[in-house]
Amino acid sequence: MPTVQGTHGNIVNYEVLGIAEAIQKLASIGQQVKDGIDAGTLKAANGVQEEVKESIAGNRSEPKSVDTGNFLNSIQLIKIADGMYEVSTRVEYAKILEYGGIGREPRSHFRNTQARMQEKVKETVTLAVKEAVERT
Amino acid sequence: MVVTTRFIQDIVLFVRNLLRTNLTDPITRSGNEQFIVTAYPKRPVNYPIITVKQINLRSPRRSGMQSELRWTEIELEVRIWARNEIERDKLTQDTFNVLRNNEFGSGSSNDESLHDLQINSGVNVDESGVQGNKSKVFTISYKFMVGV
Repeated sequence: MPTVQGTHGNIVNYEVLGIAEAIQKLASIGQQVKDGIDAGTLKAANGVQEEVKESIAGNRSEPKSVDTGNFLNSIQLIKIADGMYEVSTRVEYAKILEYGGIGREPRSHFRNTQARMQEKVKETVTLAVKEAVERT
Repeated sequence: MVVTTRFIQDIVLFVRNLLRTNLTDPITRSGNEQFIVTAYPKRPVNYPIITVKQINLRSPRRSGMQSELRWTEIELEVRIWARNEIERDKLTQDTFNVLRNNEFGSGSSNDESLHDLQINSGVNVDESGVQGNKSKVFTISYKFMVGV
C-alpha cells in the first residue's frame, strides 16, 4: 500500500511511496476477479449442463425424454467468451421437445432448469470471485 | 383488475383480453372457436391461433425487512401458431405492437399495476414439412407488487 512520508523542518514535504506497487496490486486483483468470474461461470455452467441431463433422463419433474439417448448425449457446454458459456444441443427435434408442438406437450427441460438453477448460478459465481479475491 | 389474491390468472386473462381486443383474426371462425386462448388446444382447431400461458414466477425480494409486499416478476409465454412463416411473423409483429402500445394510458398494463414489460425471447419452433405448422414462442414478463 502507498505510504506518506512526513514533513522535514519548516518545509512541508510529502512523499508518497509505493504507487507503482499499488497499481500493480490493483491490476492483479482485477485479473484475479476476471479469472474468478470465468472459473465460477464454468463451474456453474457445468452444473446447469448436468441438471439439463438429469431433467432429460427423467430425474426431475419433467417427463423423461430418452429413447435412443441421442438427445441426452447431445447436451454440450461451449465457451463463448471469458465468463460466458452456452449449454445447448444441436439436435433438430430438441425445439419441439422443449416447446411442444401440435399434439405434443412441451417438456421444458432447458427452461425449467434455468428457472431452478438461477440462484445457484449466482451463488457459485459470487463464491468463486470472493475466493479469487481472497487469494490475492 | 389484477389483484394480489389471484394475480396469476388475472395477468393471463388481462393479456388474453388485450390481444383479443386489439388483434384482427385473419380467418372467420365458426361457433365458439376462439382466436386467442389460454391453453394449448386439445382438439383440432383452425390455425392461426395464439396461446397465452403463465410459465414462470420469481419473487426474490420483498420490499423491506418488516414488509409482506413482494416485488414479483411473472413470465408469460405468448405463442403464435400460424400456417406459414409470413403469417407467423406478421402476427408476432402485431402482438409485439399491441403489448408495446398498451403499456401506459387507459386500460393499459400500467393501469393494472403491471410494470416493466420485458420481451425476453422469440424462438421459432416449426413443424417439419411444407404443411407443418409454424410457431413462434414469444416470452414476455411483467413486474407486479404482490400485497398492495
